[in-house]
Amino acid sequence: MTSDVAVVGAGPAGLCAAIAAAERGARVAVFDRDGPPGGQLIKQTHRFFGSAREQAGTRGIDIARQLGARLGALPAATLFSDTTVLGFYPDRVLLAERDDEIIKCRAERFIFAAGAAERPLAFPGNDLPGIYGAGAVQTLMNVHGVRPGRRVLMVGSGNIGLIVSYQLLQAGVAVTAVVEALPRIGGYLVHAAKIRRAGVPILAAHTVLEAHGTDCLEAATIGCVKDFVPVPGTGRRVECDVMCLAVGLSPLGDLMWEAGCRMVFCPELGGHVAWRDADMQTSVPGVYVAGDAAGIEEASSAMAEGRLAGLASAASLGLIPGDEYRRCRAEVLAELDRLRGGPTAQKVREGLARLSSGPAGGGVSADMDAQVISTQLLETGAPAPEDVARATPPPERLARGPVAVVECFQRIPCDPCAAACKHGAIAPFADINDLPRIDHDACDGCGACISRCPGLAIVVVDESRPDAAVVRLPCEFLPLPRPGDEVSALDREGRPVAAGRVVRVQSGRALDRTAVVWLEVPRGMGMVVRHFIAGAGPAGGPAHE
Amino acid sequence: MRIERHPIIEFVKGPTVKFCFAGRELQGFQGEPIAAALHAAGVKVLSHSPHLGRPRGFFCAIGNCSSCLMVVNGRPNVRVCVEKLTAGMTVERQRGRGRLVPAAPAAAEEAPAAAEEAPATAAGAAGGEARCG
Repeated sequence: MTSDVAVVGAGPAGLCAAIAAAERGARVAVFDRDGPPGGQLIKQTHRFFGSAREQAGTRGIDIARQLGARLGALPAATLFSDTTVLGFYPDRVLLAERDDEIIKCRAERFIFAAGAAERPLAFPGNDLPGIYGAGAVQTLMNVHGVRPGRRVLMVGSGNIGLIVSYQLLQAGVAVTAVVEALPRIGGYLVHAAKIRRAGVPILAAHTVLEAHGTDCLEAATIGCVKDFVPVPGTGRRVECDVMCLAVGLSPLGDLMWEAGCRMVFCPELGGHVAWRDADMQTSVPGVYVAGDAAGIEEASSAMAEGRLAGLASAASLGLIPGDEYRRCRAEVLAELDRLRGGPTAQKVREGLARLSSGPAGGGVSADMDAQVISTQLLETGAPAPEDVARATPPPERLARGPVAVVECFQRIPCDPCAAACKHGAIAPFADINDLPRIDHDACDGCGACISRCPGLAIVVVDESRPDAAVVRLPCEFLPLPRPGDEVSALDREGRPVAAGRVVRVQSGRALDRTAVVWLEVPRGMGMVVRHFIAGAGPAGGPAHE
Repeated sequence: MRIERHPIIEFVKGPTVKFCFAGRELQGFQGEPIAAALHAAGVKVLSHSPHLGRPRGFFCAIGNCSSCLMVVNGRPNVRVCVEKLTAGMTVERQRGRGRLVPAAPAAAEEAPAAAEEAPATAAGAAGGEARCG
């Protein structure tokens, strides 16, 4: 078969590349070894960050469906699923295998978007069954509906470690702890807050020292580390039948090596990645890269890179006039700059600078990275009083009636809250990496923002009643409580602090599976209570199953 | 081990099918990976390593790492984390590297030499464990 553009990988990058090229009239063949398109999106149950203008606020699983449908509606595009690409040949041919049959595809342009692989970690016993990649557990649980076990130790506090911990709780699996070898939490602090208030401890400067068990994992020894060296005498045993390794990803660069692309070692991007120009074209003319295969980043950046590679390949085939392509490219590059502009993308910017001519995103000053976050918050995921104070409405406003409290302390690329507020109380974002700015006096406490915040970092607090306070909390656990239920109210660290009574539960289509639970708690506890469990469950336990 | 209700996801399952693992009859859903069906049935040990015979489970669940190689319908080195379950499959734990024996008559000759590793024929599974009725 022949094709104008051959795309390897139907994840966020590959799908966006294929859609962009096929929309411009290129005949596109997309190869993916998996069944349904979407790559890792098909297991991402959380709402995405990024710009509300793009896909932010939409769950990964829904983005996968939308992109798959868009590709399917394009007659110029053909998806070869359950098809594994075997190799790239210098006469511009891809070989692929499906059902023991070989498919040969000759193409004018190639876009390699094969994604990444999870890294293992070296420690005694690391080969025991029960020790899995965190993404593997996510696949087992969110795609195939099977729990990995009963009690999980999570190794690594990057976004994958934090998100999978939360998803384990949603599936009714206990998380004993999250250990992180670095002295601070690696992922977004809003993800950390979601598991902290459910009682899961996050231990920075800790790692796994040894796994125990005969046939399967039974327990692990964890201990303190300093500069990646274990501190003697700090080891302690934790019971767990599952350990998830979330210690980073390596780009899958096999096809780039095979094609002879110039590869550059960029540890900030996960290892060896292909050099590319501002069109995502590698040193081999006609070969483009996008997504995690081009360097480990967030899915939102992967989608933008894919779109850029798709547009560039179509333009190079004469399918987009030069002026129009330059305008489109400028738009995508500006979006990438926004996504990579904040402090959480520092590493990515350094890696891209090393690649030297990539779309590195420019002019981020040290000042811009400066942000006020307490050490406690960075190390444990639970905000210190000074962090909470910055989010707390003035006492007279709290006393007047319900008001939204936005507990978003870290500059991350995310802005759906501004669009969610119909009263203009949350200011539009000049920079997507800004912290949300809320005018508490303009807020009428309607709560529309609660289920729209991808970080589940907004609650509504009503301290106006003389007898009790009411806190409205986002809830993504089953079973949902019913009005009248007596529950145990938890603080931001999952500690029971008061008795609570459910007074109302909002759910339904508009809330997109994030229910809002109205909880009556003692007066003065409105700024303390952030979660609840039915009865008194164990810390980190399957609180809602 | 199956998740019955989930706050975000609706699981769409194929029909229930029976398959044979190490002489036991187990159930799974058609089209799910063999490893998922085994895990749901509480089976975590999928193979034993070539040199030390250490137990191995899956690791990546997306066909990357080869930690989950098993003998399926007599064929060794099948990545069960991505191989789809079908009715009547015979699944065996693999010891070592596995051995592909092209045809049944040759299998008889090869069998003694292959005793340490998983002997396999195109016709069906062997491997020292009892078969399902």
